[in-house]
Amino acid sequence: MKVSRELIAYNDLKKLVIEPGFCILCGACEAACPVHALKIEHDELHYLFDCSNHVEFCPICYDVCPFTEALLLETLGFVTDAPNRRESIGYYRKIVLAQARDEKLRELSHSGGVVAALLLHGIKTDFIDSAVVSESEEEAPIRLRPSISLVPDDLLSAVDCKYFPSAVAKAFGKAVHEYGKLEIAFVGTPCHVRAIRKLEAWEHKIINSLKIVIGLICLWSFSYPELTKFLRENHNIEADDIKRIDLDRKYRILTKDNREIAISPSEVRDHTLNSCRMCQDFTAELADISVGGAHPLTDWSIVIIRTEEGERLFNDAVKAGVLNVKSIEEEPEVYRHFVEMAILKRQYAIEEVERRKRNNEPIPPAFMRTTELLPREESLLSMLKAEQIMTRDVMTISPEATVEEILSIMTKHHHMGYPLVNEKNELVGIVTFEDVSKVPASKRAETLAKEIAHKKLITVNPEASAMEVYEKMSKHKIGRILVVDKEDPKKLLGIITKTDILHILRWPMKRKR
Amino acid sequence: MAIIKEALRQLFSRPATVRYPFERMAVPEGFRGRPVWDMHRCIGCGLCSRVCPSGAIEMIGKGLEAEIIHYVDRCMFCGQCAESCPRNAITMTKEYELADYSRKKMVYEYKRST
Repeated sequence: MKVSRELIAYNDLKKLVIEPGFCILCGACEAACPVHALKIEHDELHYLFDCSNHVEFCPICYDVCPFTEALLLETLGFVTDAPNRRESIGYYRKIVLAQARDEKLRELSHSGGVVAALLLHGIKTDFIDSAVVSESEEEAPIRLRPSISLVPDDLLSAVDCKYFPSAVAKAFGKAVHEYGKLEIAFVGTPCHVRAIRKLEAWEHKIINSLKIVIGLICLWSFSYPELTKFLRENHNIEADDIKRIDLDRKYRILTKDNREIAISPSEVRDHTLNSCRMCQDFTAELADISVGGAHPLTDWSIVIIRTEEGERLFNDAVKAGVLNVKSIEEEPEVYRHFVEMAILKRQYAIEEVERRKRNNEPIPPAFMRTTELLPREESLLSMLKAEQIMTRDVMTISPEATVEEILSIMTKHHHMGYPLVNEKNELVGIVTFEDVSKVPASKRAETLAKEIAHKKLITVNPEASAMEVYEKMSKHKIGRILVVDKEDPKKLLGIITKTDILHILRWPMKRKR
Repeated sequence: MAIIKEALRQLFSRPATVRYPFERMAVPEGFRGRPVWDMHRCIGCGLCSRVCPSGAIEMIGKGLEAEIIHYVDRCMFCGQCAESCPRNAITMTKEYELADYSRKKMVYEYKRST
């Protein structure tokens, strides 16, 4: 996969990202280009002139593009000081449910209105001086365009969530160069957030004006021409007739004459942007705060607080009375649905990457490492033993626990799998999130853990190398593995999760700020 | 009459003269003195060299091994190099006492430490 880089990054960017159709028009390259050679206009990235006439060597546009492999490890450094890390959620401090206290904001956002409330509070208290958000175009309400909000009123027109691309990183560059803003809040989908973190890891001068990053929980974005064609041909809906689109378990399309059509995600999966099909980031794992819908609740949002900066803004807003907060433990069904969607997105992404690899189709450089490690990572893992990296304090469940109890433990501790240990302290099975999800809500109180658990366990010995552990997990497609005593396989010594292994590979990354 | 009043006033107030080099005026914020390159941040794009109006900057090589030569005798301290640098690797310091007798000596070289 080693690509030798050209002197002028645009040549590589064109070959590996733009021509294969992976560009999502975020505009990070435009904002970062020191000679302004790139411009996003009319849904296309234009190369205005040959920049090699002006620079001898420039890696910038390739490095900051969210779909290239450059600086990916460094971007993690912005969130790794958080105490918790879990599969599907990433690194974080806290997960809560929140809603704007102002009813009007909740109505406008068709959800909790949390992002709008946070930004409004930020502007009013001078925590930020502007916010880069997206708003609907008046003529076509489902299309998005980026906007720079300078005063609270600007924000009210950009309060809802949509599913189409928006050149927010370009707007960030505009806010810095043309508006001269110095404390900017950036709101975007996971790929937009990745672009901004890459700019930060690259230490580009425009990043000095970034104050906080709010990520939006995102399943995928649609290609406007493809989705509208699909809707016209299969459901007789014209693009201009659509008033809004919402997502809970299905996409609900509301037309201007108040017809509602429900479409399942799998039906429209082929009409998403190319890059979205291989993206594993559901929760914007690099943001300061991530916000998303809390289905089945309609006026609350899930909020994941990752960094100190995010915590500061959020706690400040709560103290000022701008937000209502409640614990996610009160709503296990919300947590369950949320994790289910994250797992689904990851599954789709891995399937698509493997399919493309088999058919020799292009894959964005950032995702090529989805299923393989670098040689230096392999050697690092070979040097470590299972007993050195395992968590000894394992959270276990009794085989007699009900599925309802398991779900509430999951909602509280956010682990995805729990070994079953009986009264004799013997390991008898393991129960995972997938097992719990399969039980219908009505039967959760009666079904016991031992009925749904896996009895045939995949385990390792303490002296096994971390590389063996990783390979075993990949081979069996499991997210965690149990470490048992070599002499007594029923004696549980510890647990290792996939996230633990990935964390070890990244632990040398220090926080940049 | 005003002139005599003024003369008498000046007789008793502090002199306005700054007795350089024994006294120096405070350099204001944002003063553009000699530019300095941080070679840890420099990526060797060559923009500073291309954009300098006086041709006072030379880049030897390109990319991450590039080195910079700054000819202070040609520099006009406009700050365009610092403005154009995408990584803020150039800082305009407050140094202004740069005169010398030989132009050959007014050269600053910025090399890379291995």
